[in-house]
Amino acid sequence: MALLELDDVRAGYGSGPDILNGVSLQVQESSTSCVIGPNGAGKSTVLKAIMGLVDVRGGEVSVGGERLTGQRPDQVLAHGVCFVPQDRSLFPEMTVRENLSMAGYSLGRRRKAEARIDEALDAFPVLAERRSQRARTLSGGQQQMLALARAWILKPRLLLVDEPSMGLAPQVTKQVFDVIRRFRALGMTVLLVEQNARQGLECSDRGIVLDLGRKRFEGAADSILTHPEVRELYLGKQRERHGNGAAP
Amino acid sequence: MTNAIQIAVLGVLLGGVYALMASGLTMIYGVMQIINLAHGAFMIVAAYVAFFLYRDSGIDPFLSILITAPAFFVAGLIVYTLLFSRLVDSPRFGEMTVLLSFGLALALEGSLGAGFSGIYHRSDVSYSTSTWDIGSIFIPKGQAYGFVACLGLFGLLWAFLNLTRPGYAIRATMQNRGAAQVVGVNVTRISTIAFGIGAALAGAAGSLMSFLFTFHPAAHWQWIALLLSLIVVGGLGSLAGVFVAGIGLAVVAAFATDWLSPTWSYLTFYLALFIVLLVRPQGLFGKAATI
Repeated sequence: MALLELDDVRAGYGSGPDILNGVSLQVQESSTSCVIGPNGAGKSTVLKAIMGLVDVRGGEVSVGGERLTGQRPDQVLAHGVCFVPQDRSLFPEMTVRENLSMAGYSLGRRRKAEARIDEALDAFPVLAERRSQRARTLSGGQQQMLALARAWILKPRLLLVDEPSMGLAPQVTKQVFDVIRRFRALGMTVLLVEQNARQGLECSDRGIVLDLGRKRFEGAADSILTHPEVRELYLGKQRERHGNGAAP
Repeated sequence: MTNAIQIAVLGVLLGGVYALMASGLTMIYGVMQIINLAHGAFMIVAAYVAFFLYRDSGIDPFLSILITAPAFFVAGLIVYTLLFSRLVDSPRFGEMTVLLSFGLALALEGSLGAGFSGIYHRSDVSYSTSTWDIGSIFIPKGQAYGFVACLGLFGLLWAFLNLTRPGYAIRATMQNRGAAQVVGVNVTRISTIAFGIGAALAGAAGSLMSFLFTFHPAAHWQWIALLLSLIVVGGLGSLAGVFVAGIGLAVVAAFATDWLSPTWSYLTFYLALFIVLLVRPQGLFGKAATI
């Protein structure tokens, strides 16, 4: 059963042109899907359109059959959709603990939030050791863990993660993807955007290829990169950009 | 030495009031990135309200804070909802809000001028001219009461921001608006509340202004220039910064007045502004970069 559905979604920023030009896709419940595509394909905009962070100018976004189109981010969050942005969106002057408390903001009841924060600190020992440290003093990998721990507190139905490996060392990237696998093991539905296609698809069930604001291809994650159409799209773009045929 | 202590005491007392005046301005900037040029005009309107409450009803300017602050909170909510919130989606939000607040300041000045002419006002309360004498140091009662009131209001603001749910959301939005949205803060509502609180602080500052300073409808230009320099020196959006900058610069200005001439008093603020912009553009407590 599809948890997330996008039907012919057009979206863009401010008075600028459409970035998404009619994207339709479905994400099945308790699965992980990875959106890949060249730079400027509109991958991050898909997540922002679901979250209500960009203007959806046409089409429909729904989660569990409930319409999300035109709702504010806090209203989308109330439907069980949580977003971990590319920039991690932490509160730099707040401690790790305070950042986690802010994640519990939407839970309302303090006792419930405190219990979830303790749970998250157990699940992320690297953060437990640094609970009194300000977020701005954490390393890139620790900041990404904190962003994911905030999502852990919310226990969302649908987790949206934008470029989790951005700017991280390979060893740290592996740890981040391990955490994403743990989300899935808990039964959450995950929609991932990842520039490193191979790594993103390795922890996903489905792959969705986007180009120029349109869905170009969709298929099983383990076979998508070998599909001739996807290879042509990627390799063609690489040739245009670099003048060689480097693999994605 | 005694003279230096005397000057420092006067500077600190006055600096607390400056810090309160600028606190609302920096909070509004911190949450919404609005440079509210009408902040000084809000203070002047509140000063008129406090002046007439004292003259016609005998309500002490300190007590009038209980009227001006809530009234300006509501006025702030209305002004933000009717005017500023319409610009939120504008690609030129920063410039448009400067123009809008500039227009609002002019409209308020014009209305005050039409109603009360351009003559100077000041509430003549008994304590505004009396002092405590400690040895050879004198402490003006009015300024001391004003300073205590400012500390109290800063304390209330701190408690609100650190101990309440909306306060926590305001702090979060001041640090990272995008992140606040992501964790479920309704930033539109929080912005409205923050604008209301900023206006309420202007209202409270206006009550104090009514007996500490002479004022007239156009006096807000002089004030907004000084307050803008304070919030830049302190670090845009930093309440701690505005407190330190307010007291620090007021002390320096007091020494400049004594050693050079009163003309240098205001120049001190702008010189500090130039120096800070050259040496530490993010201000004393500002962030050079964010995560």
